[in-house]
Amino acid sequence: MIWYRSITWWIGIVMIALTLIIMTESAGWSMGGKLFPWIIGSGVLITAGLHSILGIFQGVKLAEDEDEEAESEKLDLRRVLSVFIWVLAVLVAVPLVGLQIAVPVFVFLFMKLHGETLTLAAISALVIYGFIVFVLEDIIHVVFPQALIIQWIGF
Amino acid sequence: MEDIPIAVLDGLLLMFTVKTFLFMMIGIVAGMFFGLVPGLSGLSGLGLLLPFAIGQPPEVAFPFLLGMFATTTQTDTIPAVLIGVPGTAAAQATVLDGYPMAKKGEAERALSASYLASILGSIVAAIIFIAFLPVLRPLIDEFAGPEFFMMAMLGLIMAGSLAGTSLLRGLTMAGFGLIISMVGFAPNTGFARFDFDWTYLIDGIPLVPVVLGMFAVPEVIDLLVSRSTIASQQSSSGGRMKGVADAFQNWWLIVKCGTIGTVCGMIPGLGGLVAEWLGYGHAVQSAKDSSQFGKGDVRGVIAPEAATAAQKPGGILPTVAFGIPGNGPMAIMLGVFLIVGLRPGPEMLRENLNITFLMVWVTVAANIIAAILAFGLQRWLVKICYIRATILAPIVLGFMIVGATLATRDFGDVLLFGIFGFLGYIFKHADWPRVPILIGMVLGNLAETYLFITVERYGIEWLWQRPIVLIIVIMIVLSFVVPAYRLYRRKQGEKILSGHTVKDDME
Repeated sequence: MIWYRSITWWIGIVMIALTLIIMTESAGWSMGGKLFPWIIGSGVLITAGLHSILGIFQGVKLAEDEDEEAESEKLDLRRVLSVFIWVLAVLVAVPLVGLQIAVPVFVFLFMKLHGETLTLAAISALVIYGFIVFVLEDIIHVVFPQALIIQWIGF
Repeated sequence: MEDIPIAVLDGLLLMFTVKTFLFMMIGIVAGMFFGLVPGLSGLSGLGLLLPFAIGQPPEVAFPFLLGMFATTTQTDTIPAVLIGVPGTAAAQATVLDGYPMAKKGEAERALSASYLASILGSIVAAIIFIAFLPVLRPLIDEFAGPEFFMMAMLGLIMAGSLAGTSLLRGLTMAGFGLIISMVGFAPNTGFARFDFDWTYLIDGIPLVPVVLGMFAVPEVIDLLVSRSTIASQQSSSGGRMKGVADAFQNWWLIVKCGTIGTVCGMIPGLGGLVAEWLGYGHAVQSAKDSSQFGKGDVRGVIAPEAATAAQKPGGILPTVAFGIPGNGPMAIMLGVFLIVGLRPGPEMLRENLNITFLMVWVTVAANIIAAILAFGLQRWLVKICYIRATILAPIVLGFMIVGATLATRDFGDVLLFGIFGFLGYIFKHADWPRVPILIGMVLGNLAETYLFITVERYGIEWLWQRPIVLIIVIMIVLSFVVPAYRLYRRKQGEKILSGHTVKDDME
């Protein structure tokens, strides 16, 4: 029996675990409360369970041929990681310093560090800054949450 | 039935009110952009525009979003024909004949034929829509809680079983969407559940960060990873009027493919890609001389474009009548219905029939306006296809983060956006379909409410005492059995084929 399976197979296992948590959590609720979670949970357990069992005995069939993809995926892995780090960085920066600063700075830095000209990066950052501050905040009166740093400093 | 012509006219007049028309035009321009850029799609665009539609009245929110959504399939043909790269997945079949036509110097003929085919295809869908309504309304009057619950289940199961390559994965994802919808206040008991003691989740998981994260983030990441550069631009001179004549000469093909597209739009889980390939397949099968398909036959452009354009108005019908979205974008629309306070079902076919027709008119008008704009601005529009990913992706990602935060204006939106972005990327590359999650998430609360009402009112006898429920049960069983049987037949065929090849090799 092969215990290692592709990520596609493991997602099925995660789904089973998640469903079991949902069903255990709702087990003590009234009938009206647990009716839907239990009906849906039972369905997911059947489908994800079958997927996992069939995956053990037959393997997991994907839309694209894995062998062909494997080579290009290896080459792209560094790029994927690099992009993920950028995305993670901006998502962390948004609550910390606020949307108004984090997003334009991200746009500027990303473009500049990926070979775009200073002018183009600056214009793009300014456009998005203008959209957030002038269009959303000033004209539409959207109130964005205050940056955590500002809250910590005590302003 | 006499109210239908009045609602048709009222919907049309509503479209021409200043604010509605203005928002529709903004949506159309945005949709043209999203269609043009390979890697982005109507679903990403809807996610991006959704926060700006929330808070608007229905007669503004729907034209804004539908104007965007209806237009992507007009402009996605431009990169498909000129550079052989489909602007969205729904233009893949168009590449087969459109690109060879461009190579032969007939790009403008292919494009003008496709624009007109899209317009006529959407008109065919609108006519089918109007023709269906008188049949649908008495039927919908027979619906109560049990029928609506079973329809929701049918929609979910069909979406789950038809989306993606695996029946089990699709159904699991539909269930996962329903599980997500359970977070927050329970509609029946009123107590908060699965909220991890986080006040942000008490009102449930908002739709916008999930849509943006799950559908737009993976596309933007892939755009950045591929950093796609396009080699050279093809000639696009001449042949505009010939393309228009081609479309009119093939009007019957457009009617047939428009009907195919409309039906695909009505069936949950199918959508643009299936509609397009079915349309293309039909054109090849029905042609007396099919030898030129794949080498630059204009019918290979007309048929898929008519089918994809018709699929969009087709998707509106089950969404407004039964609250069953035919595809991912319609699931977002259903979410908007609930946000702006409209309830799908009899209400949309009686009291708010003008809004229903406004939606149909917008999809038709958006196609016409986008075609005129694309016709006139083609030379400039094509330059958008050449914008580097390193310019486009950070700006789009920036707007997506802003859009996600607009959902509840809480940093929890950003966190959810990140979590669902990560999940969306994993699901996309691990071949787990994402559209059933969205449909499950939107239908979850409705389905739970209907189930609760049904069990309280009818016990469990409704399962065998109500004829419409029994018909839906049969349809549900068929939606399980038919794809599973097809899969079995395909696997058997593959086995026979591979066995034959190995044997041949051995000999």
